Amino acid sequence: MTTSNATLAGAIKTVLEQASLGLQVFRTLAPPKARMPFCVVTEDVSWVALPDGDTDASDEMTVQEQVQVDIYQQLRTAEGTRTEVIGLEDIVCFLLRNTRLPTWVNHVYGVQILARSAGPASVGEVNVRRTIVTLQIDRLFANRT
Amino acid sequence: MPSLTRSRAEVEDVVAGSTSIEFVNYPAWRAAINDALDQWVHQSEDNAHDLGKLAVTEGRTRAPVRTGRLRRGIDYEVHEGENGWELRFFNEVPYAVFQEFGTRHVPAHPHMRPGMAAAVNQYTRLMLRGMK
Repeated sequence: MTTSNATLAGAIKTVLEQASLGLQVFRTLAPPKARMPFCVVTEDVSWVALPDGDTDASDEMTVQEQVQVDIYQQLRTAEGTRTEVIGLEDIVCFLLRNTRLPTWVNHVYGVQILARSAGPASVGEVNVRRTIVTLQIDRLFANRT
Repeated sequence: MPSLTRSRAEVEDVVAGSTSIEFVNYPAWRAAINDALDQWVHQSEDNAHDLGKLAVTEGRTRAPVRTGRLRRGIDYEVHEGENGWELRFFNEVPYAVFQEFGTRHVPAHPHMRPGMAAAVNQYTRLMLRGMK
């Protein structure tokens, strides 16, 4: 599988998959038969331009974009064997916190973890845990040249 | 012949530099800043309401609509907490969380977080404009 750093999701995928955690990363929606553990990255949760100068008319524009990273983990197999990777969510947060994402589209100034919450993947689901991590990414907004 | 040793005063002057800052009309500035801060504290409940209304408007603009129930469920409340006035921005519709964050099989349709972020951004701009 090739990784692309052309988008923020691609850059996050690069960071997480290069850590050799056995974690697959998908954009927006995972395929139905994806093997757990996996991550789903939702870009552009929110997108605001930071006030810059008197008229915001300077050459460079900094944007604050929120990105959601969902970590899905199966806790046990059908036979009852434990499959949960203890501390996987912590490792993902550690890898993403304050990283400079390797994206060639726009320079990334910093990544901040805004919130994290865990719960069942869906209503009534007890064997799959979903952890939602919301990131705030400050990056340069510029034309692709 | 110049002295090879320096007095303590000379050394401190070199370390600290000789820059000085002069506050022109300093008492008036201080009074104005204090007034502004006092006014800010007294108005903070109103400010929280203003921000809440902005967030509701922005959230409703971004909410996915089929019947309109999700959009109508967006609301806010302001109450006094330990650290002053606190704003709570919420959606009372039970399935709002599934729309906001998505599920394992349905992609997310974020509308609360971008609504709040846009409101904070707008509010920051208004504050900056007011300070100029």
